[in-house]
Amino acid sequence: MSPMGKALSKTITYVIIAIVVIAVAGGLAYWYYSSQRPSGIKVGLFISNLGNPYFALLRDGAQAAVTELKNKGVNIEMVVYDAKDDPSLQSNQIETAVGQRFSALVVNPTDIQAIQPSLSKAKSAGIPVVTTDRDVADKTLRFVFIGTDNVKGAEQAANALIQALTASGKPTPWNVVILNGIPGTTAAIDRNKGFHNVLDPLVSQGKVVIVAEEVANFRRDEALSKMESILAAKKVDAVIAANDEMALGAIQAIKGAGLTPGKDIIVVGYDAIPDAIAAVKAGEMYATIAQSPFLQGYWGVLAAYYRVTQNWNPPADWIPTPTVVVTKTNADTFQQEVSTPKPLPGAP
Amino acid sequence: MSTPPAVKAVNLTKTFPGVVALNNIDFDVMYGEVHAVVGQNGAGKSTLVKVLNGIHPPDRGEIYVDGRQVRIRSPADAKRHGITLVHQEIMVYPNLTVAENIFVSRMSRGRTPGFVVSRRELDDYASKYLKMVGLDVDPSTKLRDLGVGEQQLVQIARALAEDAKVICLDEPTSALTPGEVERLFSVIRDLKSRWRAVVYITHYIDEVFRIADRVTVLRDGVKVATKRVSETSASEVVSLMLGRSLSEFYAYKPAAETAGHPLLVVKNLSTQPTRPSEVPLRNISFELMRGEVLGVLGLLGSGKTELAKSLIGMQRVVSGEVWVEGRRVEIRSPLDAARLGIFYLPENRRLEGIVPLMSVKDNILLPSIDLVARFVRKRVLEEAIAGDWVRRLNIKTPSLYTKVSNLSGGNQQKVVIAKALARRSRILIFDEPTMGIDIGAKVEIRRIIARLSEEGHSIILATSDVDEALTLSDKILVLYKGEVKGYLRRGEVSRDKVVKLMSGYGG
Amino acid sequence: MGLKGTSLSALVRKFLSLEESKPLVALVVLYLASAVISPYFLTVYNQKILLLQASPLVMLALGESMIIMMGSIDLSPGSTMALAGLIAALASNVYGFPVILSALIGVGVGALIGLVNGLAVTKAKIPSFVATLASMVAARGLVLLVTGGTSIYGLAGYEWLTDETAGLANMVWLFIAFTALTYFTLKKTTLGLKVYAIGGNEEAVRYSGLNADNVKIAVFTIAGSLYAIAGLMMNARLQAAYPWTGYGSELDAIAASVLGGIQLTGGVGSPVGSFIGAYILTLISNILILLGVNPYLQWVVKGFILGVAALTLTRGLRYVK
Repeated sequence: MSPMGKALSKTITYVIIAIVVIAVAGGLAYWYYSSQRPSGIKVGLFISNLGNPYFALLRDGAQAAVTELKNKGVNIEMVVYDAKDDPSLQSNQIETAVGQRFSALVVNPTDIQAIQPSLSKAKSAGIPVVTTDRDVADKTLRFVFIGTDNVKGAEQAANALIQALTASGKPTPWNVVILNGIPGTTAAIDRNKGFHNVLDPLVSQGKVVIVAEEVANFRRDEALSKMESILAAKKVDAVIAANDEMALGAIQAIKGAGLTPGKDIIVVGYDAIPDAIAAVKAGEMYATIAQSPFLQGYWGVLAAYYRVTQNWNPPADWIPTPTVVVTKTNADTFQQEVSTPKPLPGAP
Repeated sequence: MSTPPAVKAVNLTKTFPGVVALNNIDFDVMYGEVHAVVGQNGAGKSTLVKVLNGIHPPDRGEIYVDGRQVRIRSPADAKRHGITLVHQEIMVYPNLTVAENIFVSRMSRGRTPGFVVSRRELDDYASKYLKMVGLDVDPSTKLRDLGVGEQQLVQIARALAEDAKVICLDEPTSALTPGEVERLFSVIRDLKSRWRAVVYITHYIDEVFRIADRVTVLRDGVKVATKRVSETSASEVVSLMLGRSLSEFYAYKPAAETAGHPLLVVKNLSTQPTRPSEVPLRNISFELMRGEVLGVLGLLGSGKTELAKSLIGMQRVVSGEVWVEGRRVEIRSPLDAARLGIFYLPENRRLEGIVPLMSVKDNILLPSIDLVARFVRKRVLEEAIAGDWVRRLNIKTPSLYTKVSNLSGGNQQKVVIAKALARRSRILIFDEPTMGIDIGAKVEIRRIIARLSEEGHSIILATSDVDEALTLSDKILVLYKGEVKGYLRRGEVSRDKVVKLMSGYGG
Repeated sequence: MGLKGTSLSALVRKFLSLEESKPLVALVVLYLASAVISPYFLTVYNQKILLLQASPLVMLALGESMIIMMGSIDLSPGSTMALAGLIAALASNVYGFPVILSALIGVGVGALIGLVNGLAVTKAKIPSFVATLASMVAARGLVLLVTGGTSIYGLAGYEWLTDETAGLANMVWLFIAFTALTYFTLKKTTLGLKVYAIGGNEEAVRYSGLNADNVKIAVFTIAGSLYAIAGLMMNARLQAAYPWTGYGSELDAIAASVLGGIQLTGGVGSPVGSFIGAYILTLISNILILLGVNPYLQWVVKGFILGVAALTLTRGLRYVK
């Protein structure tokens, strides 16, 4: 071997030794740190996907509650876990937290079924669990669920649509297109139910005709193609979509057909994502529905705190968080509206 | 002989597209007898046992078991009549245990009592048969953890467990160590004493004389002779096997240029196998002049294919030198070889030589395409070049755009030759160029090789056909198990001497 | 009369001997059937959206078919188009590069993913199915990491692709040009010969003294660039870089290739076939919506049509190398 090569291999050896030493030392330090029992209240917040701004708001709300409690002199700390939409990762995170003797868990489940075994471990360890945004199938595994009433939100959306149609002065019957989300998901089922709760009576009165009801899987590109094809065959007055991505895809298709969204065809979405708010401000989308992830996080931490300190029992096992219809008039202000701490219903 | 033969075949004929693999073969084997079948590659030995075992149903002919005519159309038929085949690659389950391998066919037919078989029971049962073949292994071992020789013994144990009356062994020793061979032979002798009939296929002549009672020689799908081993000799069997025909069809001309500097020099070349089936080469040296034909003669496992591939960078060379036109060269890939004018014409045309679904023209031009056109292809020029080679080599094809898969074996081989020539190669390495093609095409290919050398091409002819090598070559390199057994000028050697060298005797 | 008859039948026979004839017949039959069952099908608007919807898929199918012809498979088209479209959108709308330059950067990203695929398959000797599965997952992960799952909205500057020239959107002209270019490359260049030869018998190519690895790397890279152009097309169509763009499209690209008569064993097929295959897929989705078929039933019908088509058009579904 050349001297150069020897020197190189020596360096590599040192680097490897250094990495091993650092890894072992770090591991030991982490183990020591994590085995320390919390002196105060330790809450774990398990988020399905922090990359999604919606859940980032949930985290912000939880953080606000922790800060508020700390200011009151409560010894509380919170650890945030991101499961990146991976149920097995989330299960591992929850199981680890159970082993570390957390006081309470606030869980935003990645899946309504898959994380249940890890929650049963929390239950048998006597650690109270709050679910937020999405519930788990076995309701005995948590003491309360804090989340949006999607049926109600969808009813608000449909009512907003009818309001806009009435105001537009379009002749009845109005031709309405419904775009549905991924079949089988709770959000898709509940929102579809809410739409029909409002629209079906009008259909029987002859005021509304549902000219097409398609599945676009919550996706913008699919909604674009489907809406394009619908427009080839049908005259459409309004579109109601189970999320904003699909509503935005529909808007793109309407523009492509040479029509004006908001004028020729009224579009209503759901979720109030930033793109949709921009479209509402531009007049292309009439309305969207804002949920309150901030409140979900905020209330989630408070509920956990009351449960741990005062064995609090919630008024119901589901505390619905408010939904807000966002139109041009409140497009700039709704964010504060849903991000302002509100008192937890039934709090002691 | 009052008892009828265990198995008797009459007028067996089996053809594959383009080849008559078995031509009116009569064959029989008695109980308590080992009947060896010998022949070169492609002589039809394996086809014969595959027909007897129902793997290839025969086109014509009758098979009798215990004197009664039977129909064998599938391996299951064969098994029902007590005929079984022990083969390295067929019907082994490496991920099952030894015991499960022994009983797998019975279990699937549900002949063992009860549906659920306990592992213990199975293992006890299996060890009885393992003892019969002298194999001392735990029956719950996974088969893949055993050596090749032990796996073979497990197969024989399975044959015994299935109560097989006729056991066919196809090249059983090709992957065994000498110790394992001894053990196999003692098991075969034991099978004889248990009154089983054994069909033993091999290309090692010495084994015939150690284990067999009778020997049948096949050549080109035809039975040449059946002899009692006690009444024949090794050299008689070998010369029956290799035949003595065809030499009259072409006249030898000495190489035009045997003086001067050699075109290719190989010094002390040694290689390491890259696959288990390959043979390591040890200290191979030779020289090749312009216009000369060097015959590299050897049987299967002699290393002749490995030598050919080492010259195009497809073997791992561990030591030795290669010189082309007085310059030392390193050949790491077929591309390096092609740039030096060296082209390999593979033994296995279908796997390595042609692209079956591509046209004759595209196949011919494949190696030289970058010389003919830079990026955009030139149809007219390509047609001219390919057409020229089709005419000069007399390739029989309906058009330049016919798919090569539609041509006969001989014409496919000519397409491979055309590939090499269109690349302007100076050194052509033929590996078994006439194997598996009909006699007429054989003669034609050999004539082409002779003509190419006359035109100044240097040729390395790797073959197991003694007559092919003797009639075409200026020099002969005889290989046996990766080593040079003889490096002889034409006329220095008799046919018998060469045959002996090939089988590992003398040297 | 008789002469005319024979020349006509000769013409028909010549047509049927073309590689593309069966998919073309299938497309024509579907076209006629659709025109009969839906009065909206043949409207100018519907034909225009058909072409628009087919554009990205055609680009994916062209790249995929080249790789399938080499006897490999590529699972990365959908993710590659998303990542390339996203990077182009970031370059133009966030970092303020000119749109042309941003588009080139996007295509470069696609080519880079293709290059990595090619190197993994040849140098690291990873089977193409596994290597491209890895890049499919990794590229999608990158997209989600960068965007956090939300779209880059209000994308401007890509309208050139949806603008019309001579009655058709520029992206339609673009995919027609690329189909022709791919056809030319495969049928009329030395690279094309090597692609077919590798698909037909890779060992023979190596023994012929050709560098099969370089060919594979080149083709994977070209395919990656084609996917990237599909990503730009989706940018223009959505006026947004949408993170779930092309999710699952790799299967559509493979299905389009199969429908186009390209055998999964490699060595056989025409890019025009994969173009037709992509068009057939788009057409089926379109006609089912025009007819207002129940959305769940649509999947069943689509699967059924795919199965029947694959059965009649190709025998290639049996093996994948």
